[in-house]
Amino acid sequence: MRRFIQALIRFRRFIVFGWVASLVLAGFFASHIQSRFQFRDFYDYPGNPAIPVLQSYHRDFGDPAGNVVVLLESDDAFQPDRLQYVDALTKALEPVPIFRRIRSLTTVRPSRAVGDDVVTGLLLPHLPVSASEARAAKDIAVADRLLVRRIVSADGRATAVLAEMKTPSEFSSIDEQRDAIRAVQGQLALTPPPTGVQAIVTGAPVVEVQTTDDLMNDQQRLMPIVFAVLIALLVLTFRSFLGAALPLAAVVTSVLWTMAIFALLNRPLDMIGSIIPTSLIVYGVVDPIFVLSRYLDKMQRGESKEDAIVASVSELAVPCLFTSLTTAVGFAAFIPTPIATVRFYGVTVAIGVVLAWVTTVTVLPLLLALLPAPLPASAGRAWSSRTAPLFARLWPWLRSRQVAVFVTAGAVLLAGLWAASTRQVVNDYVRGVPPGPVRDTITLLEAQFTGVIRTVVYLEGDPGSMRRPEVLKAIETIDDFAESQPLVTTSTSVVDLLKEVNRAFHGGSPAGAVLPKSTALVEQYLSLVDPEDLGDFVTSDESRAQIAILSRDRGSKPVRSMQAAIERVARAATAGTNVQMYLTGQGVTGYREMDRIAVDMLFGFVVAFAAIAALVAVVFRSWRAALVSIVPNLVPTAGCFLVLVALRTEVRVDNAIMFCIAVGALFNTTIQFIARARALAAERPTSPVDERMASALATVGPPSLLTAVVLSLGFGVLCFSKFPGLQTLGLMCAVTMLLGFLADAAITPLLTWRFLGARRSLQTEPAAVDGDVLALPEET
Amino acid sequence: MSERRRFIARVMVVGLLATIVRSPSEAQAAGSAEEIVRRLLASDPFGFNDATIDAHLVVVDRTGSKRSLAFRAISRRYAPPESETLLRFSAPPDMAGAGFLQIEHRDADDDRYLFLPELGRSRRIAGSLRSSAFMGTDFAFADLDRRDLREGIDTLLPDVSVAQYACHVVQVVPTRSDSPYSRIVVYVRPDNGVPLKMEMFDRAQVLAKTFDARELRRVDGVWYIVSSRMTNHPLQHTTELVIDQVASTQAASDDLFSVRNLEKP
Repeated sequence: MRRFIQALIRFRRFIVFGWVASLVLAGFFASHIQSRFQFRDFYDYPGNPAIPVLQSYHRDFGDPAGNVVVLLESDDAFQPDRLQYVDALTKALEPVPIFRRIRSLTTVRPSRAVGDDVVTGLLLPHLPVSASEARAAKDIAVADRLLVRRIVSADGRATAVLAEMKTPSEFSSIDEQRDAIRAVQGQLALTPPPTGVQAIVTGAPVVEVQTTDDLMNDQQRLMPIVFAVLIALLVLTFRSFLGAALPLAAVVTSVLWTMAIFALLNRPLDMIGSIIPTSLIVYGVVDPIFVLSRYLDKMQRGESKEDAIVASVSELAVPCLFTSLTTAVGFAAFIPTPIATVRFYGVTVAIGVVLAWVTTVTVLPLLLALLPAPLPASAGRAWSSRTAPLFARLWPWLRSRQVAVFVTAGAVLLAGLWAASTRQVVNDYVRGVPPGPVRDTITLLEAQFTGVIRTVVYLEGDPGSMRRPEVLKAIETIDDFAESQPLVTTSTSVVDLLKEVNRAFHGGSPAGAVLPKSTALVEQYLSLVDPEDLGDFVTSDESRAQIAILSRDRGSKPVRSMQAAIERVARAATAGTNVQMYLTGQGVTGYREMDRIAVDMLFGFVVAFAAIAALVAVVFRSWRAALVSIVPNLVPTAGCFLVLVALRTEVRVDNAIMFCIAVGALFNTTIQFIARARALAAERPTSPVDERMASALATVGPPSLLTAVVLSLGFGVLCFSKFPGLQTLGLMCAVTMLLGFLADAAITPLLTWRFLGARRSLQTEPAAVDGDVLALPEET
Repeated sequence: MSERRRFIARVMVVGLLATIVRSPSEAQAAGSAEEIVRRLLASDPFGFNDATIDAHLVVVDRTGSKRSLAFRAISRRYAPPESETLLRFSAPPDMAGAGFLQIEHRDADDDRYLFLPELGRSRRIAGSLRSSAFMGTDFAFADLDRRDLREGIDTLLPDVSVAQYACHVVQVVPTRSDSPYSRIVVYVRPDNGVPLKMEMFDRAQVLAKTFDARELRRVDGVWYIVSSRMTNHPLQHTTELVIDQVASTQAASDDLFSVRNLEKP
């Protein structure tokens, strides 16, 4: 390492060109990263067994709630001028190539009875000119189970124009969805609604596009805050702007390199990926701080600039590599997961952490060597000088209160255990969206029309199966059961269609709204229905059918419980019908996978925790050291769950990332303290134990506190995110990092003293962990 | 005869032959758009005027699923060009016996009655059906009643070839408000007035459907399209219409086209 640094300094003027070129190239690639929030990113991955059924379903029936919806609210949607507007908007949107079809009051074709005649065809063959004509149309519409909550609200005050995309919105790109929304908004701008009508654009594509935009805005807002916080901390620490600029230059380089790799992996920045830059910057800045501090120490001791650079980097390269590797291993624990968004997060941050080490041992010494004037010799010492004695005095205080410390730690662990037992994995689709107009419109859509959570009972059998009486009866049973569920806004199937046609052929009597008894009549009715309308429910050969259940979003737990109940009823209803039943749809597959991601993160945390503990055992050649390292790191984990309880939040995808982040931060201080204590025991076997423990605390405490402050404030910036989940994550990170430090400062010394430090001395100092020292004032 | 004279004679003969060959086409091309459409309406390519046909339909959806229907249709031109048609389904088995009666009117909406054997009686089907599909196929009622052709505004477009046959091309803009189409472009064979192709554009001027004649057969002096396909572009659906048998029925009785007869399975 020493020779490498010397060579780096010697050829610094050439290397700097390579560095700048790499920045330009990395910046170019990184600029091509796209932000994207799509629900399907959580579940559309190779090998997901649910995808073939979902794709088959989409091929047959499209996306039942994938419309751009124009909600037109007024005191009466059936006033002639309002219907005229609906017609004008419908006709204006019909030619837009991105849409497959536009459904509205002026395009629907309900079957109804008028006297003895059966009336089919358009609800409004011509626009009503009189109030009585409009009222007649309203009476038909609000009585039709296929129109209420889909096209018209139950009270007839609001109506919806549904613009269905050619590519089902669930599988279309964000750009396609954005184009579709723009087309609708453009048309609304060209033809504003009449007085008394409020037009609102909403629907699932609006949620995804708005969330994507919010993600980008979040990045643009949070990054400057993260940098501002770090600059402030670094300036306070080093009392120099250059002291802030140098570590940041190193870390920005690593972040740019990492983002370039991320871009080459062709991944968009999604909800989880949006944490990557913050994670990398906050984690990446720690090592350069240590190296810079060591460099300043050397300079103060009177070493030459080149010697100080070579010595500080070569001394800290291996310890920093070790802590970086433990962090990388923690994130790499997510690589085996099949879910791309989590896997890429794990891979990217693991690579980024290693690259941060690379820039610490290359870019930082390069810049130190290039700078014409050294930093003030006193810079960086103020922090450790002031805090080291405090840490030294902490030891006797702790020793005299060890029972209280252990009881407190035990209480926190027990409380955390209790908190963990009360938390469940519950994800949201709508409530994951930042509060604001989009969320409000979705709430409005859920209240008056359909929800955006799609649960589908997809039936498959031989051609003609779906007209068999027992199959239709099963569909009716499932449909009725679904409609009885409190979360369900609409449940529609071919049975509803048949009931409406049958009612029309029975003079419009409500008693006629029943399933026809004979297969022949079913076939005859079905042949009367326009293929476009029939195709929403059953395929041409009647081999496949769907029951489209749309529901409000109250989180994955209640939705999944509802889905489980529907699945149970559907299984029982279809038993013996020779028809295969699948529960599919975005709400089924998406929520299942989101919950699984959260569980995977918790599991990954446990695996990484165990792996790092094992690594500690190997490095220290002591299983006791591994056991000692576990306890103080369980305390912040317990704290995580307590924060969740305090915020009345369940474990979700966006806050479970906390466990990924925590893996990288935990253990470092523990490892450094144990290493330092054992090193002192080896160096000064005759000195009193109390003195050695105080010295270890004074050495490890200041940099650990600085690291904890950097990490907690850095990640705490996420509290300023627009996303509720990320706000929680920010708070959890801040609390965990500080709690982790407190646990290490209080528990680790006592455990080390009781189980490691006082009774054993290390035969060989583990060079790998001795080095993360900001300053040793009492020894110099 | 010198070589030069022989050459001039050959050129003159070829020129004369060319004139003779081109003459009929040019004479037909000189006909107005209205005349071409009138000839089209006078022809009975689907056997829906004065014929009895046995036919079957195959509907294929975008996933490749198929559904078949078979029927016999008896028609009579009772007040040319208006006609009445009785259609009785024979397949699939569940549709057997179902009947449909349509009586076209010049100045009023057509009468349509549907008989479903399971219900035991017929019902008059009212409402704006013209944009609706006929018995779940890709043929709309508007395609069958030909009102848009009868009442539209016609414009002659340059001739083109369809399947190697020169065709007159007429654009018809429907005048009825209940038409599902903004315009129909018809490609008509000059010699027999049979449409080889029709393109229907929806109200948004987007190509909605294409009708392609695939096989023509002359029976009793009338050209029938015995195999054709209607493609519904937005739905990615097609309907094949195959006329299995066709016979001229000049003398069908009036009683045949009554509701009472419709209700006889």
